[in-house]
Amino acid sequence: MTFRFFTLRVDANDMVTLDRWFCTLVHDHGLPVETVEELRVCLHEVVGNVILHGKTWDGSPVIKVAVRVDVEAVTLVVEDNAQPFNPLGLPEPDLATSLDEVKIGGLGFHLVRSFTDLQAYDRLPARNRLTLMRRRSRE
Amino acid sequence: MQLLSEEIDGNVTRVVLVGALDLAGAEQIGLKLSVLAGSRKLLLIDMEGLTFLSSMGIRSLLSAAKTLARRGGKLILVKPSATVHKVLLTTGCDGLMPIASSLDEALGLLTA
Repeated sequence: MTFRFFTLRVDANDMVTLDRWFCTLVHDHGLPVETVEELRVCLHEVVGNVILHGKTWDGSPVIKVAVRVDVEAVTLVVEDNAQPFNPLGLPEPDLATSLDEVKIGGLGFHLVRSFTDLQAYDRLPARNRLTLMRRRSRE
Repeated sequence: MQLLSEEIDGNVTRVVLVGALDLAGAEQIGLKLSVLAGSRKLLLIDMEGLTFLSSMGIRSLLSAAKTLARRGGKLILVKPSATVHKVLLTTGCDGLMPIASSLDEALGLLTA
């Protein structure tokens, strides 16, 4: 299968449309509910992070999402034209703490790492590209 | 995303979340949840109608839980779906906000 693409404005409300597009696309491939739901979380985390933290943009802010489902894996690629940011450099949060000590934040990419098998970041000319892959052998 | 609240037995406020607690959802209910955490003692967050939870939603919940804890209060999560539960477990939130599988169990935990 080839990649299918979606472009969204940098707007929390556009996430609804992205979400629907993604769910329809993967539903057509008969992926198990658990896989779909976990990948939805990853998509929300990555795209939401760009929406929240993107500050300087090369031109009009835009985020492009590409999805490919094949026999072995589901691949998500998210590209944005915000300032350089590599989420793979984020430290793992300290999870086993008390309410007094817990730092609110840093959980998003932890979820992405937990729900996917491979993550890769590339800085392209004026763009960030994050590629996530989840093996279908998990199903 | 909707947040509805009602007072139930013994000083407990049942907060019903309906919809997706994602980035937009957290923006919609964050203030209301914050006000409840600052003014009530025992919050029961009914998640049966919650269709989705992301880290942005977890922030709102943890923030409320921290506020309550500082004031000597408690927050319990009730009846999350399998996916929402997995998000809570994966992020270690089950150790910070107890999860009950029924209203009765939650009331027991809150008033213990």
